Amino acid sequence: MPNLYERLGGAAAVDAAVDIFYRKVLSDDRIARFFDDVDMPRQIAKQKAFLTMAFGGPNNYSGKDMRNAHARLVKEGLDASHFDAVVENLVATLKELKVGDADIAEVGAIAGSVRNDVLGL
Amino acid sequence: MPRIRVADRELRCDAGELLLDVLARAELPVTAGCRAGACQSCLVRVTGPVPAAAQRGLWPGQVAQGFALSCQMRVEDDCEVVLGDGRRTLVVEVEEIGRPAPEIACLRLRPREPFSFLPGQFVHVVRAEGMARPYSLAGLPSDTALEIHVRRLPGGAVSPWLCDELRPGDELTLRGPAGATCYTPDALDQPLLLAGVGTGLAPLMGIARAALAAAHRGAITFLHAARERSGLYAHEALRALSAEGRLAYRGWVLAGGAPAESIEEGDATAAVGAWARAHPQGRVFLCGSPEFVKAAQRKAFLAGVGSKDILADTFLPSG
Repeated sequence: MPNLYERLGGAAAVDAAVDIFYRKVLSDDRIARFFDDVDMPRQIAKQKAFLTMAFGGPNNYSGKDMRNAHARLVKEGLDASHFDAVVENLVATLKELKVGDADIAEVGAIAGSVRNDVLGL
Repeated sequence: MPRIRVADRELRCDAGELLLDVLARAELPVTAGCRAGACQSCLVRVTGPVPAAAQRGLWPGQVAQGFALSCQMRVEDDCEVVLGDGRRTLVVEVEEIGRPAPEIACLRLRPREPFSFLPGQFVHVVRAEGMARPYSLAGLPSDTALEIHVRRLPGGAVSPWLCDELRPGDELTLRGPAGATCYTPDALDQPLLLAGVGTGLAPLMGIARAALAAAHRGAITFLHAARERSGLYAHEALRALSAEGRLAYRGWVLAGGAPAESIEEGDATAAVGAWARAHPQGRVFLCGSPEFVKAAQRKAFLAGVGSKDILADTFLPSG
């Protein structure tokens, strides 16, 4: 019985999703400023790591890593509304890739599980 | 049991072990990050076959140089591993100093030994310990001399010295090559956009010449932008290539240079966006200031060009 990450398509699914997801995020006025960076490859790498985790894939980041990684953004105003907007764009990306509702819900739950660490709550 | 040559040592491991684990066990300086092939912290260079899984997400230029994600590479065969970026020090002799425009010098530098690089890569000019500046290579590895383009930044520690004090016959120390914004003949039918500002022209010249030498079949468009007409310092050479039908060239000036043959006025990033909308399957090379790179890559990406097909070199004015 394949797990979520395998069902979604593993690393290839992350590759297919990242550009779609990042385009949505850059075009979303609520959150674009947190993602717009001159170093696009570095941003893409971060989004791939995020999607890999959210798809239930290999993830070695601790809650403390997530807190530290987002502390500066939290100081710059990152809050719950922005986190929710990111998850909204993630769901829209999965719908565009024709992922089923049950799997989308599972991805949403994994993303939600890091909410407090990302927001420093 | 495969053998791994690294840092003057020979390591042994079981077939199928992860390269990252073997290197870490030997207490060699390699960084582990996500361990999932996403963050690229664990990159090393490998001489020998590299499985595709260990090169996923890398630029074609990195693949060509044998870079591998050590957290994804299971060692099956003997190989040699280079930690760090594999750059080396090279002494060159100044052959010629060209002055194609006010404040711009084109230096031709003859290496003392064979020096290979991918077209579009860069080298550091090392003036002294801790005083080095990166300059993109403008030519091809087959040229008899290396070529760099230097913009003279008043008060800078290196560029005024290169522009004002160097003479033919002088020696320079370089370190390199490095960079992944380079031409690789892995997709000959792909349309290419080469867009740069100021001395961002330098790597694009190497990339254009490399594409033409590789008989690249996809259409090549070359945009060069400058503040004013005198900054379009390769205008005639590029117009000649354009007239021969080998590439399509447009020069852009910000303001005040009355539009002329092949020269337009205004924001060149708009032209990048327009090209991207017409060629979302294409590959884009961008070179210039952070402002230009950020705006141009955003337009190209939102117009549909894949992130893996947007290669950018940001030129920071460090003097």
